[in-house]
Amino acid sequence: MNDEAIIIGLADKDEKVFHELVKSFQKNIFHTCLGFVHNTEDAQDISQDVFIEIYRSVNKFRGDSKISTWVYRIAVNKSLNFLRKQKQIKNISSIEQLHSDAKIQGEQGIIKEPATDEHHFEKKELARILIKAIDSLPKNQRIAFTLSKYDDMQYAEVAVVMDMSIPAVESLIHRAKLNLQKKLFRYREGKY
Amino acid sequence: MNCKRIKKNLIFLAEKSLPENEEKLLLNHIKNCPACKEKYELLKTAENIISEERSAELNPYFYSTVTGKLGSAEVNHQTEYKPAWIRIANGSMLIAIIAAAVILGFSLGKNDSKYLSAKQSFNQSSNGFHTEYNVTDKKPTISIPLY
Repeated sequence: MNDEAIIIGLADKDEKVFHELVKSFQKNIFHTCLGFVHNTEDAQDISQDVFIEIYRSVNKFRGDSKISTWVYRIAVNKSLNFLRKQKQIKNISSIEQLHSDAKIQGEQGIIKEPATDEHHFEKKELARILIKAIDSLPKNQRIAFTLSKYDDMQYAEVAVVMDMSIPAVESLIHRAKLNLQKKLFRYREGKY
Repeated sequence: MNCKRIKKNLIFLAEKSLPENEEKLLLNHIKNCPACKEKYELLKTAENIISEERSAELNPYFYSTVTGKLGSAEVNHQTEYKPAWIRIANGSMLIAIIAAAVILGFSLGKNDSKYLSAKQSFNQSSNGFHTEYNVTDKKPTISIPLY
């Protein structure tokens, strides 16, 4: 089904067309969202919201890009908005948690989790550091890296979604990888 | 090839995105350099972590969840949506009610101020009743004298 037929079908609220669209993009959009939020449940929720947004806002689509580009842009924006809200909630709850933790530590002493499987524990810790490192990338580097790594997008596709030139995208992804490498090495040296 | 130059390209080696000849050079160096090897292993593990994350499966009921949410979202969208003129009229009415309440409040306050400016008392005898106007009270009080 070409883009024009999809737009007409969505505008007519044709369920078959919508179903086809969801089937075509659901996995990719899920991976994109997962690359940002690193939580499968949240990624699924955001992906669902992406398709709801498409269904309701098809009349806002100007037709100046491919449908796939539009879909990915909505996914990126929704993921970033979700993270922004999460950060606000985290800031509030982390202050509350700080007080309750301090109270528990004062009463019981610091509780250490026994490392039963050292390799598993180290991998888990590395995963945490990796996610923290990806989250700390500058916005455009993060978007380019996530689309390229989690969606297997070619640089040309990333460039279209981000509305940039291919060399600009190459540079962003290259810098993102070097930044991540630097942060992981610092972790290993005990400085991160 | 020195370690500094090798270190810069380890992440590209870990994700296998280097040209073949450069890959061979780096792998050769790593075989004989424990420090670089350790870093390479770290990056390979990170690469595996991302691959594992990517292999997460989507809920098989994804589409039905979307249509389920869409059903209630569509309903909410329809019930919440009102034409612009209704929204403007509602807003104007609210402003008018607030303005009326403020004006009424001011006018009531003005009447009360007659009793707050100074203390004056007037005694009027009329059929044996005293009538006192106490400027601190809001209402006049009538006292019945006991003879």
